[in-house]
Formats: sequence, structure tokens, C-alpha cells
Amino acid sequence: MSRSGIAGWLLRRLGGALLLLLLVVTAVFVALHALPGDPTTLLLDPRVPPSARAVLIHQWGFDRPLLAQYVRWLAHAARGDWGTSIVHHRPAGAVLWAALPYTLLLGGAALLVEIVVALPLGVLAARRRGGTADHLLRVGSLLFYALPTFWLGLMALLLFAYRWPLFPAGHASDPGSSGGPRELIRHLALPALVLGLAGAGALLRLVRGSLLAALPDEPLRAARARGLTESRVVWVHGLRRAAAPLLQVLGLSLPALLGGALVVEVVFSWPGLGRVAYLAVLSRDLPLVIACTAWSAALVVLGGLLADLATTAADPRQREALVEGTLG
Amino acid sequence: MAEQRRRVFDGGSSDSPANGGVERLQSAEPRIESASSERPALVAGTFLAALLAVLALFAPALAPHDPTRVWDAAAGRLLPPGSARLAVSFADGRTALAETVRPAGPGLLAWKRLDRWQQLPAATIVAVKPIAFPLGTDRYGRDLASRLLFGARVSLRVGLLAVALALLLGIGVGAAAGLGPHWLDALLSRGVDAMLAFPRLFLVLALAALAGGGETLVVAALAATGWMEVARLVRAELSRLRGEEFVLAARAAGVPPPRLLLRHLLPLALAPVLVTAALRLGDALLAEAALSWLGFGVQPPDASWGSLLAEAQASLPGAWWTAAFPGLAIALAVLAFALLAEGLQGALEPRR
Repeated sequence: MSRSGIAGWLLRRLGGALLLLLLVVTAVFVALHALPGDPTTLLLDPRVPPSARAVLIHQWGFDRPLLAQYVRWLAHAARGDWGTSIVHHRPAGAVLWAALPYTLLLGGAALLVEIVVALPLGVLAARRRGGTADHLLRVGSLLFYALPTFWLGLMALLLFAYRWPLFPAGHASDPGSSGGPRELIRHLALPALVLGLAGAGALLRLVRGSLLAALPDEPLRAARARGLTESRVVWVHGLRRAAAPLLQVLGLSLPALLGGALVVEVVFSWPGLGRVAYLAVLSRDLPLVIACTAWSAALVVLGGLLADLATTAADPRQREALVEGTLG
Repeated sequence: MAEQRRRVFDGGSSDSPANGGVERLQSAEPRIESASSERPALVAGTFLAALLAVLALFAPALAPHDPTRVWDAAAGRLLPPGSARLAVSFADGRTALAETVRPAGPGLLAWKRLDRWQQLPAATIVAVKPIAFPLGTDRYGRDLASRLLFGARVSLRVGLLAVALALLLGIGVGAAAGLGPHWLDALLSRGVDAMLAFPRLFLVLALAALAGGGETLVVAALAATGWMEVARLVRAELSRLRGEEFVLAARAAGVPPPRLLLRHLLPLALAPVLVTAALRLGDALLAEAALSWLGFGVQPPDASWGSLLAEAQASLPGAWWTAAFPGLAIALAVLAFALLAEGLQGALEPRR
């Protein structure tokens, strides 16, 4: 396998990701503009006089044909100009830039919780397959999959912020305080735990499944034959063989993670992208809604790309398959 | 790669070619395990789903009270689970809830309401009967158990309709991609990838909010964002089957493509589609709940489990039961369909 092969694959993959993003963004733009009803009727108070309405409509560009609006919007977006938020009176891009670190922080922390919970328990379930621990974990993971994330958040608030006030009941910092890492972590703990636990059940089942699939393999048999301890076989060799499909799935679970982040951010008043999107939808701030949806799609596409890169790093056979074009 | 991802998602056991899957397919170990452990899942899932269906279908007969009836806006609000009161009906049609009622002299009754004793003329009272609120009442004083039972109808109706539409759409697109020309397959597969790369809730929220919410719209939005997995699955099954000899034979014999699809191919692809449908149903219930909770779902006076939760939020942190029971109902339904999917997969797989 050659180095240029990898570079070529990477370029193709990047091009594909960009194309995907363009498709998604176009779909969002068209869907939101093609909906019945003029956006201005949603945006403007009926008492606004027709002359002022016409000026505003012209200023927002809603009087142009859809295609012209789209081309103009795309040209601006490509230069990083996502339009002006109608409610915030600021560039939508600036609003989102301010929210993005919070969503990345929440998502990253939740992913960490997910992995820290699911990996050891998944390994345990795989090693005790059919035993009591396996059955209990199976029921537990199904339950966490079945519970609505926002309900889990509400219950967590109810128990750990009101009943036993261990954690603050929302927001990213105390009112009137300058913040600081300790305070941020205190506020982050509950939403990250809720979002992480909501996804941990599914991940646990996947860890168990991929490990069970990998355990009877030749290399593991060879490792056992070399006299390695069973835990070393499972944790080092087994997990390495299970890593590629797991990374793929982690990449694929990003939309769910981001969707979960939306409701968790709303429950805990966490100032991230999801909350911005929710408030934008509530206030019918069309440019901001479109920018939010486009950004969240971009996050997912980027995450998928990273997951693919990590997969190739984790599994050389995957790398060859990718370069040969049989995958991706 | 699409099929590989799918399989990892659904079955939990990866047998992708890149991981030496052939070897693993021959080792029967995981199969034996799944056969023994998925029977209880099928039984439990079927039982729970049937129970929910019965509860929803016969809600009018099973519900203890009218789900929209306000007995007493002041004394009946936020009663905890297991509360019992005396419903006092007045001649003018109003009702009130009292803790106790006793005679208080000639022509007078005394009642204890809102922790205070009051006397009222007996002539104004038509009837006094005991009523119970097994799961308590909401903040308007409506019976939560009845609201949950009627909410089951709305939630399940929305979920079933959305999944049925998504199945139709998914099978249509999947069939076109799996059996159509190569360029169509490439185009549709890219489209499916694009849709899948999307955080569903963001899109559904944007759609529902800009069109104003409501049950029809929720169904449409859930269907429009829930068909991709089905399409992917059907496409994979069909492209696996299209090279088989019996398909070639049928084609050579001049069987028209629609008939080939409906009579010969779809029945073979039915098992995995059924499994996905059960999983999608759980997802649709969760998405509907989230959407209604955010305020863009089913609109009053109808109430789904999600909108019950949305209403409950106003009475937190005091009245835990208004949020706990609808949440548990959603979880139970999702669990039922997840178990059903797992059980179906185990039961249908060996036949493939």
C-alpha cells in the first residue's frame, strides 16, 4: 500500500464530506423556505405597516426568487457570513461561535462518560456472557436506551439539584459570577452525566457484541496459546480487534449525540448550539435556524470523517480496504 | 461500508468481510447464544406491546375518569398518587372535591376542603360520591391515570402512522436503489447518506416549528426523517438478492419488475424490515415525546405522553408524579418495541 493511496483516499473522503454537507445544507434551505407561509408573516407583528414590512422584506432578501436567495446565501456562507440573526441583531455566525465551545464541551464530556461507563461494563458482559452480570447489564442498557433523554434530565434535576442540592440547576456559571474552570465543571457534571448515560446503554451492547465477535478469532487463540492471561487477551488483543467497528459506530452515533445535546441543553439551560437552535425556532429567527442546522450537520460530517480516520489508524486491514475503494 | 455499519448497529456482532467475517460466520457460537437468549425477549416484547395496544384501544372503558374533566380547580390540583376524595355535585352542575363531608344540623352539611371546615346548605348538593385518583392529578386537577391511558392512544397513533409512512417511503426508495440502474442507486444512496448525517431532532424541530406544530405535522416530520434506515436495509437486501438464480430465472421468464419485487423479493426481505420497523417505532415514540415536550408536538386538548411531560414541567419540583409516570410510560413502550425487535431478529434470522 502506498502513501499516495492514502492521500488519494483522504482527498476523496474530504470531497465526499463537502458534497454531503452541501446536499444537507441545500435540503435544509429548500425545506425551510418551501414551507407553506411566508416567513415574514411569522417574523413580523401583524401591526407592522405594509410600507415598513416591504422595506424589511427587501432588506432580508425574501422578495427575491428562491434560487437567487439560495445562491446569495450559499455565496455568503462559503465566505463565513451566515446572515444576520433577526432576534440577536448580530451575525448568526458570531452567535454560533459563542455557543459552539459549550456544545463541544458537553458532547466531549458526555462521550467520555459514555466510554468510561460502557467500555468496562461491555467487556464484563462479554466475559460473563450468559451470566447474571450479563443479564443485568442487558436489562439496564435497554432501560437507559428506552428512557427519554429529557426525562432523565428532568429527574436528575429533580433529585440532584432540588431534593439533594448537590449540583447547580442549570446554566454554565453561577449568576453574577466571573466563572472559572471549577464552576464550569460543577455546572457541566449533571448534563454530561445525563447525556452520557443516555448513550451508554447502546454503546455497552456494541462493545459486548464486537468483543464476542472477535474473541474466537485466530490471533486471540494465538495469544492465549502464547500463555497470556485472559484479561490481557480481552483488554489488549480483543479490544484492538473490536476497535474499528466501535469507532465507526461512535462516528455514526454523533447525530444522536447532538440531538440528545439539544434536549439536554434545553433542560439544563446550557448555552450551546442546541439551546440556540431551540430559542431561534421559538422566535422564528429563520437565518439563525438555517445556520444552526447547517452547523450541526457540519459537526456530524466532521465527526464521521474523524471516526473514519481513527478507524484506519486502528485497523490496517480497514486502511487497505479503504484505499482499494471497497469501503467508503 | 453502509451495510457493514448497519450490521454493527443492528446485530451487535460484526461479521464484516474486512474483519475476517467468513471465518466467524462458520463458527456457530454466537448464534446458539442468541437463540437461547432472544426467546424471552420475544415473549416479553410481544406481551408488553399487546398490553399497550389493549390499554390504548380500550382507554375509554378502562380510564377511571374523563381525561379532560376538572373536578375542582383549587382543591383537586396536584393530588399525589393514591389520593381519594369525595366528589360533591351541586345542583348548578359544578363539582368540588372534599376530604370529608358530614351532616351539620338540619338542612346543613359540613365539608372539609383545602384543610378548612365549611358549612353549606344541603339543598344545593345533588350527590356525594367517593372517587380515587390512582396516579394523582395534574396541575389543573385532571386525573393523571386517565390522561395517561388516553395519551397512549395519541402517542401510539402518531408512532404507528409515522413508521408506516416511513416504511412505505423507505421500501420505495430502497427498491428503486436496489433494483434500478447504477446511477440511480448512487444518487439515492448519496441522498440517504446526507439525510442520515443529520441530527434528526434539529430538522424535525425546525420543520415542526416553522409549520406550527400539530399531530399531522409531527407524523409527517417523523416519517420524513425516519425512512432512511429502512431504505438502506431494503437496498442492501435487494442488491444481495438480485444476483440469485431464482431472480434471474424469473426475469428470464418475463416477470415484470413490480411483480418480481412484490411477490418474490420483498417477502424475503421482510424479516429485517420488520425488525427495523419495531426499532423505528421506539425511536418515533422518543422523538415524538421530545418534540411534544419542546412544545411543537401534539396540541391541546389532545395530549400525548410527551405533552403530558411538557405540562408536568410547570409543576416540578413539587409534583414528581406528573413527570415520573408519563416518562415511565414512554420508557415502557420503547422497551416493549426494543424487546420485540430483538426477539424478532432472533426468531427470524435462522430462516434467512
